[in-house]
Amino acid sequence: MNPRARFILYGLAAVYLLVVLRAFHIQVLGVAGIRERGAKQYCVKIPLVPKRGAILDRTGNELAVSVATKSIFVQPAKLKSAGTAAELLSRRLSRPAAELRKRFSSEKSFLWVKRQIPASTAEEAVREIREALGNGNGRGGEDGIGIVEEPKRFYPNRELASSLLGFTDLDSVGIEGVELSLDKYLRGERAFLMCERDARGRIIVPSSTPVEVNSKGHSVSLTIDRNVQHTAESELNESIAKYNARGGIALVMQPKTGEILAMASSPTYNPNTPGTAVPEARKNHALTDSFEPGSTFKVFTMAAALETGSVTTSDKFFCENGAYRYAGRVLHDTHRYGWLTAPEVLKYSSNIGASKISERMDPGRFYDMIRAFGFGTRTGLELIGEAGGLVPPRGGFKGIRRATVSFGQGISVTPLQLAGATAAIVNGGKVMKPYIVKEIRDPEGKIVYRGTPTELRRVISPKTSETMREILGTVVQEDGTGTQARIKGFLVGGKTGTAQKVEVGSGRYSPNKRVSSFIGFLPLHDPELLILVVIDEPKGQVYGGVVAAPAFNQIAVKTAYYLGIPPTEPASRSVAQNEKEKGRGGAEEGRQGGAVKITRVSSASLESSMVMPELRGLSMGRVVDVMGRYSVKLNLAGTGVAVQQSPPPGQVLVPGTECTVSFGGR
Amino acid sequence: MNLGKRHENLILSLCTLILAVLGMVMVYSATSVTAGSSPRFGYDAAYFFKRQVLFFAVGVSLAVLLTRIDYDFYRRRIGFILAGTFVLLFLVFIPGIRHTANGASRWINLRVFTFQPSELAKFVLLAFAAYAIDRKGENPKEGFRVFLPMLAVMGAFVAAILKEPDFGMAVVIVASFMAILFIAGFPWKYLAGAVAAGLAGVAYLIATKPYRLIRLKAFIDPFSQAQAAGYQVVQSLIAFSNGGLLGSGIGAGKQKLFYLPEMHTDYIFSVIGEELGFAGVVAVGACYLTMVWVGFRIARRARDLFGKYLAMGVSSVIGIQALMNMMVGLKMLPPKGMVLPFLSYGGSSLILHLAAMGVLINISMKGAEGFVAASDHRGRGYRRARFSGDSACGSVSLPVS
Repeated sequence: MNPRARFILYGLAAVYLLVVLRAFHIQVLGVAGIRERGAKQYCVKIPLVPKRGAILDRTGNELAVSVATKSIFVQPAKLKSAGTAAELLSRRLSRPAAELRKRFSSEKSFLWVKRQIPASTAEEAVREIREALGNGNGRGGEDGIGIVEEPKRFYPNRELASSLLGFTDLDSVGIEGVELSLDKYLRGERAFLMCERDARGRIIVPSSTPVEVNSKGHSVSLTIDRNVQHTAESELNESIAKYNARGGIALVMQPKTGEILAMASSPTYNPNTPGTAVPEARKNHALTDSFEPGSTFKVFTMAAALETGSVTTSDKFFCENGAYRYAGRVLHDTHRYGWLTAPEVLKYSSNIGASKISERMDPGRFYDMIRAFGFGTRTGLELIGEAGGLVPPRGGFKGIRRATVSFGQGISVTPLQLAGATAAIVNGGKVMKPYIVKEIRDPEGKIVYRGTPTELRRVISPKTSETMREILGTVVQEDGTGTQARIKGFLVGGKTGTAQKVEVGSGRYSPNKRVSSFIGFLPLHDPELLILVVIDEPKGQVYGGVVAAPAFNQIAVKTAYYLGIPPTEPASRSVAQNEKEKGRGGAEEGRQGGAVKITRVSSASLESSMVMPELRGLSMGRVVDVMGRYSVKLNLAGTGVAVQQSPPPGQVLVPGTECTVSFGGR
Repeated sequence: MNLGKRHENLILSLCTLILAVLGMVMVYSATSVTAGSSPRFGYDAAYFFKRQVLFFAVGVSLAVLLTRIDYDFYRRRIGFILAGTFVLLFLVFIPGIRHTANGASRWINLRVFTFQPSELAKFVLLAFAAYAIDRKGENPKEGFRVFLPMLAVMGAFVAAILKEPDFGMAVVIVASFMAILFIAGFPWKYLAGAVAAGLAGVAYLIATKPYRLIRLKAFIDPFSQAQAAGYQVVQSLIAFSNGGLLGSGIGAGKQKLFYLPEMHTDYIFSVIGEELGFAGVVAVGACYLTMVWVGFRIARRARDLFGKYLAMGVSSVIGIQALMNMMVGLKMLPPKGMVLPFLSYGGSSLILHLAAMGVLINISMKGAEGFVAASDHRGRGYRRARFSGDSACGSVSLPVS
């Protein structure tokens, strides 16, 4: 053969040898990383819902928990008779058979049929189909249908604190409220169902569900107390219903620490079925809404004037008999007043008086005080979605703008800001950062975060604070604006507020829409509770002292007794005692009439309604519905209808009682 | 080795059949799941398999027919064949006639089937080389004057093929054409010059098209961009790696499903690597090498220079293309589109390669009966063609010495 031909032939043979060597290296000896990469890509990860951490109240009651449910999946490619399966499933799950049949004929190798349903329902449905398809012993989805365990979010108290807690989606991802804000902790690590594909692309579901290692989320304890929250919500809702209002909020806070005991926002919804909630209900209005506070803001004008030394409690102001021409505008009072002392300006809530008090101050100092109280900045609460409110710019803070801000117009605040700033007024002058997270524990129970009182800054002196408490005590006195806030056994202080609403669109003040509010605290001399009630657009009555003060009254008395705050006054003497305070405040003497009204308030009324009802025969949903009204700890076991209950029907329920209901087959 | 021509023809036919039958099986294995679940192929798992069987039947028939047609026919009609092929090559640029896939217009659309003229051009160009060598004799004295026109004709064809674009095919054609010129005894310096010019051309092509540069980079380190440019290479290596010594078994490979691109054409070898393992790789490679070896034996006893060089051309082009395809799959060469002869799915490729085997067997039949090892001409220079009973063909190159 031609040597050159031989060269080519041998050359090709040599290349062949190289190919063989290379193949030997890759196939027989193995190259690091290649095979692993292959194995990885055949693995199909089907995401499962992780077990989310619980949300608890400050005493350990469950506000949101994850309960075990089952999810049915189908592997259309392996299903023997898609038609039969669709038929049976549609009957079981009450879904149109045609839709299921269409889904089962898809090319997908794995699809969920129904997720997060009670275990018994899922198991029965799957058993029935397996029998119908003629392979009763098929397990682990070899026959194209199977069950996987998935947790589902459950809110045992239903509407309670719903807009605060928020909710999760089907995949247990926080969407609103605490669920969203603390999702990072609650979420838990994602769990996956690890499946492999075979050579025909079919997914092989392992017969046993993999154990969720490390997939549990942290549990979050809130500073919220379920019973206080319940009280706040029911009283708020009562007021809203009574005055046919659009909505409202109620906040209960510890003024010394900034801890929030209740944060109610209305309207509410049932977070177990968040799809049915109106958008308005999903918002936590205590955080997200800013409103013009109206008269409650006079508290800060007064505190600033006293703190800066511009005004003393004995200074008198001429209130122009109800109409005051200032900077080209006329300011009005609801009643005509002549000369009022500074405390009386607050007691009778004179706009003109407040404006004149603010005139005594350097506008810059006044402005700085307002900012120091925290207005115009978010409080830094742990929750997402907080609004900052609107404070006019420092440069424009003069003239009529300053005059209107002094009585709460032309400035907008959130309920939380208002409560936080008022806390600073009454607690001795320290602005405390509001907080709602008591602690966060990891799945092993180790505390990874603990909420502690944080003093942000001092805004007024303890002396000014004390003076302010006295003045606010006079507001609820005989002829003050907040008489309905008085309660048995405690001296309280507070301030009413009635603000015109700005019309959306026109930007003008609405002729009839009002925001009525009352912010109050007790006991007067050593405040343990600070309660803010805001009612949005009440109909009929609009004054804060009429609309919001009774709700404050109810929340205050129930909470004070529930928390065991020792009464400061003998019930019968409380009013007389108030008279003395009034004298100190320089107000007029009044009649002792309000005490009769207060007797309505008693914890007995709360307890009389708390009798264990007959639950047997009810579904789990109904039981939760019924028991959600009581402040008890509800334990549910099993599935089906209620067959056993403890305590027995008719027994009086003390808040916090543990009630156990067992469910069984029908 | 003392093999008669009958044995040689038998070995050649056997290797061809083994590869073609294995090809049909592997095409079925590679495509059945995808085709069976795709409305494009009518949910017919055997869609590709059936067509490949049909191509095989056509190809075998054509090959049997061509064993009966004296290969001298091609020499006599070379001008016509060359011109016809060139025209076909140009048809792929005409909208309405051409068929485009993956951004390349390599096919003529015949409605039911598509035809790839570059596959034909590959063999025609080698026949042309054999014709030219036959006319001018081996070790041509005119050298450059013969060399340049041959390169010019090849250049024109290759330019058209590059335009399609079909880089892989162009590389195969140039490589096998140069191999034939090398064997024919053209001076080293010409060949070196041509190779240098070719490499410069390749460098130019890579530099002008950014995607080629990306591919080259991906070849050097495919794992750095395993999801992008390096994807094919990485997936091919995974397939081989999965195969191990004996493979996962036919139909049990996983790579073909979602990962391996072009699994039934350019990367069929990777499917073989996965399902038949290292053993399959060795055996398939050995089949090709045997065919080249037999082809060269047939060339040695061909009755004339045309037959000799045509035989060497056909067998070397199959060997070169097969080995290049394997090397791409094993990441020994940068990726380029190129099918594995006989094994890959594709009508033009399978039919024409089978037909080429028919021609090769015809050359064998017309050549001398097997020779004795001692009579092997090892000497340099011209060796008189042997005649095998058939009448001599028209123009036989004159002995020079």
